[in-house]
Amino acid sequence: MNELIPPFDENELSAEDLAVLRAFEAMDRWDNHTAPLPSAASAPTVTTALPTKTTTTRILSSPLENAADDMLLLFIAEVEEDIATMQRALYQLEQDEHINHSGFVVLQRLGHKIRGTAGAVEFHLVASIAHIIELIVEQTTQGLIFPTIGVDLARRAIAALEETLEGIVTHGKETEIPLRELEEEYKQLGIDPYQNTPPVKDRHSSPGINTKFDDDTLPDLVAFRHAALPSSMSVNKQRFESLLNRAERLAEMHNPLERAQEQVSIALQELQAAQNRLQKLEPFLASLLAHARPMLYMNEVSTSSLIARILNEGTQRNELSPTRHARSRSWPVRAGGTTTWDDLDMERFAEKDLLVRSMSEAIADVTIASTHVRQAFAHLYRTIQEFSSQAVKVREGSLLLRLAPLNTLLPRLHQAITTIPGLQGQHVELKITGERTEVDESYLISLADALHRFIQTCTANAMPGERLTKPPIWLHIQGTINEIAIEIGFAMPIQGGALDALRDDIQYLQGTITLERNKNGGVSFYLRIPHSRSISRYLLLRVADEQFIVPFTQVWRISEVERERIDILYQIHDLLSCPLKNTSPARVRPVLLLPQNSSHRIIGIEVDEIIDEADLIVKPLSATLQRPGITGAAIDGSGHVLLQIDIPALIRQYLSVRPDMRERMRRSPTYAVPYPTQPKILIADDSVYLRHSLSQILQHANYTVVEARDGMEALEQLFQQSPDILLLDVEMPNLNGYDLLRVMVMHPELANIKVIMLSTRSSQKHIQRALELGARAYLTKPYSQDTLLAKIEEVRAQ
Amino acid sequence: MDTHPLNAFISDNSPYTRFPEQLSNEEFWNLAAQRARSVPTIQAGANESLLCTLGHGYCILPLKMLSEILTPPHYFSLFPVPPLWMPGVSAWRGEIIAVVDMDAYLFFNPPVSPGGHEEGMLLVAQHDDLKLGLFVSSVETIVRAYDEQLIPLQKGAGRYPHLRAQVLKGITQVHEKEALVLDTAHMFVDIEQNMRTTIPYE
Amino acid sequence: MSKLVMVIDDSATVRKIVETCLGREGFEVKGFADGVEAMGWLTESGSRIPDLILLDIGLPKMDGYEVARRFKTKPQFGNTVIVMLTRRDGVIDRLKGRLAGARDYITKPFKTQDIVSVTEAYLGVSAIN
Repeated sequence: MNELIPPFDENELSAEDLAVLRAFEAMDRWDNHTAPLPSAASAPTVTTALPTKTTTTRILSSPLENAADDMLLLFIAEVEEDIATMQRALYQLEQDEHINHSGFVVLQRLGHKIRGTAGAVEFHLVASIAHIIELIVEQTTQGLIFPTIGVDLARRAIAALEETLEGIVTHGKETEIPLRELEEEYKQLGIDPYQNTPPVKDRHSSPGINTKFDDDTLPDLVAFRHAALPSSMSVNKQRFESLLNRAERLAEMHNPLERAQEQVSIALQELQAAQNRLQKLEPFLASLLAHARPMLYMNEVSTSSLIARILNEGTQRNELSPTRHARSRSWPVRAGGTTTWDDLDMERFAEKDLLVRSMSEAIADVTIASTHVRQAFAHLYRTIQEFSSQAVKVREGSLLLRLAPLNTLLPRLHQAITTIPGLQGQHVELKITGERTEVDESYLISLADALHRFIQTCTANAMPGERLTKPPIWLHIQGTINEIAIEIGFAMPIQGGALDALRDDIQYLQGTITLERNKNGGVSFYLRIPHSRSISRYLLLRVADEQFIVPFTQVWRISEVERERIDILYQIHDLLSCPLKNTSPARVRPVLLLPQNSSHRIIGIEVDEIIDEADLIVKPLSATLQRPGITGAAIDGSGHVLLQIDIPALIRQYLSVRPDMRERMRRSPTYAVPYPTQPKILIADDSVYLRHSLSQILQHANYTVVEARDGMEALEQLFQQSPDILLLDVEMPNLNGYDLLRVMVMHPELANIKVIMLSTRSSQKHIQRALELGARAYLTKPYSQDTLLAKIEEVRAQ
Repeated sequence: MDTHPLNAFISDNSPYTRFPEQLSNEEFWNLAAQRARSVPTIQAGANESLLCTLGHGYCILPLKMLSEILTPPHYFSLFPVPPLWMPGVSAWRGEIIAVVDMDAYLFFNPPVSPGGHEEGMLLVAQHDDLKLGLFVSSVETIVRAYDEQLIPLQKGAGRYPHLRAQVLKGITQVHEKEALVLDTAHMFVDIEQNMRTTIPYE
Repeated sequence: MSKLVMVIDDSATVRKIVETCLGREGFEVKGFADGVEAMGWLTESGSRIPDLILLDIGLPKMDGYEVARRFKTKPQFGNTVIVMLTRRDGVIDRLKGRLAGARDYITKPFKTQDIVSVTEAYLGVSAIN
């Protein structure tokens, strides 16, 4: 559903226009008073086809009717002018043999313009006809109408336009007839003129002003933006040109490569021929060595006809030795020659000599030919090397296209952050290390946007206050070869809901986020993201005979079991349900240590072997193949499939079917919590009063109670106190209720804490969301004491 | 203009062939993307099928569901907790597809192991959105399955109880041996359901 | 000083309508047939930054989105409100407009009252009336 706009064509701009554009770009000061500014380089005014150019109106007080008449005159004049232009274009179209594309564009544009104008002055019939002209052009270029017929139809339409216009002039209003006739003709073509157009709003109703874009629609824009990204992107011009050059060089190398190959085949043929010649000599050699008579076909071998003749004669002479005398009589006498060579066995000597010579020639040929082959082959090899190294360069270049160094993030972030109202006047500390790390550029843009939104959400309630000495917010960004690690730290309490609002962004960036309390008393978020959406760095693991990959961002360190103090150790083949291969027990098995989070427990996964690390593109698996913890796969250089493991999901799945493991986790020795006789309930709410009153009720009902004032504290308490049930308010600072649910999902050891959500909001949407995020129940305030207690019982029983 | 190189891309279903420049950016992009993704399909006659040898018998597969036939070597990567007849997954044109050992699937035998295979043919088949790699010992010939030659199903199906009812269209005789004639749609449904309902971790 | 409204539309009739109805309300109005012309005026001495720009999308030489973008890259136009005038009312068009820097959007054909309402909504009622 696109606007019918003629494409922005740079070529349409004249040199003057371009100069104006440049001057405009260069302007960076405007004074409201008339200080003399350098005027544009070219002629000050730009001529247009229309009669009026810039007009200034001061406060008018002319009577209404005059204004209306002026308007009418103006309108008529303008439309007539446009019609004239259209007719010129039409004439051009009729003259050319081929369908002149630009002529149609002109018609379309003017049709569109007249439509708008006529609509504004409420001449709707004129607008309809203009619309039809637009449609004619559209359908002709789509191939629904023959061009000649299209042109003809356009001519009729323009005529109708003129007629209607005339009607306005003479009668003061539009006549219907021309439009009707036009529609008739159109219908006769068998095409519905309004077929492809989306329904246009009823022109006679008041069109209404569209409401402002309010922020509720923004999240959709995020998705739209992310979805729209793949179809176009901006690239660094220099790198693009460098890539083009490399690609051209690669293409140029194709010919030399072909020629080198040809050379090799020619040389090989040469060698083959030489070998053949050599082979043919072999029997002669054999017979000669055996002192047997040389064979009769020696003339084939020799390289000269004279020698051939001599040899021929020699053989004949030998054969006919008994009758030599008789023969010699009839033998043609040679010039100066006698026939007495035989006594000295000269023929035989000559034959041997010649054979030797032929052989050495043949061998020399073979040697030369094989040298040629070697040379040609070496040349081919070199050419192939050059070719493939150029191909590698092209690939590098294409990867680099999308990359930009990390420090380009800085100005973008700076600018974005200064616009956040809550931070006006505050100092935000921005630090980047590893700033030369190359990262996908569009990814950087998304990251900057995400960070901006994150900080904005967190500070939504902050008031621009006095300047604090210590920065209330800091951003430490670290680029390493494997990933980008970002700490977003707050020294002040923040608005809850950040995690919730940013879930899409984080997912899009394929990152992981954890949070902790920092030493300034506030919350720090740790975000780890790969360098680009498509290619990330992975660890290649071996499990039994198979290879799997794990994203780098999910692993903290690699170590060995003996060397670390590990709270919880999993076996990879347990998690994957693979059979255990019998490796020798002496062999040390590496262990992957997972990033520490608020629980401060060290969790490790023991694997068979860590093979390598690699940059790979991982694609999602089809729906039938997806399993919890295995949702994507990459293909390695040899065409093998490498399944990607998502560690948290895998552990979660494992624990959900292994209740014994869950219990073991709860009773981790690190936090020696005596197994409670009374069930323990954690109340998370920022209202002191509420906490107090709930606490009373629950203790009275024989529950052990712990309290938390905000989301961050609640998280810490969940780990330290291991409650059975969590009563969770939605609105809390630092992390709100939904944020906390999301964080709980990330920590499998919290999987069996049952959550009851408490909120004032009662809409289905909110309830749905809470339940989807893992809450067991949802209570709307106000609720009675009995309801609460009953709910708690109900949930406990589950 | 008729020799414009890009003309080959545009199908002639309009009175005038459209030149690619006339397409809007969106249309052009869509067309190019579509062409890039399309896989050349085997032009099959309506009734043509492929006779394949398996370890324990034959099977007959309709030709039009096959996208490509791959020669060895093959490599199947183990997929955790697969159905009994699935040696693993393999990569085909950038996609990951599940591999079905037809011998195991039809004749209830243990499947080939994951890993490399120097023998056997992998037939890439597609039905609706699902693509599978069907692993057979070898590909014999193209046959025309005549319905008259099918042994009535009541007699035949009894021997293959592990297969869902309509997967087997019938049994016919080829080279004096039994060959199972398979129904594409039902077979795919059966395979897919088996893959989905396998409980991952027990 | 009265607020300045710039109207960029290739139809002289539309420009005239806007000039008339807004002029009546006390705004200063400047009209241009296309973006280049408007920019040309802005580079001259004696020009000032408009407070509101009514911008048609289907312009010759350079379409409305492009014009809006170019204006919005200049920090001096940070406070200028851009309102697009256009024929279609699709979501895509609104988004495009928004991404190009427009704040609001009026469909054609419009009533003069609409123009006045929108202008006053963003600029307030003109002091001089």
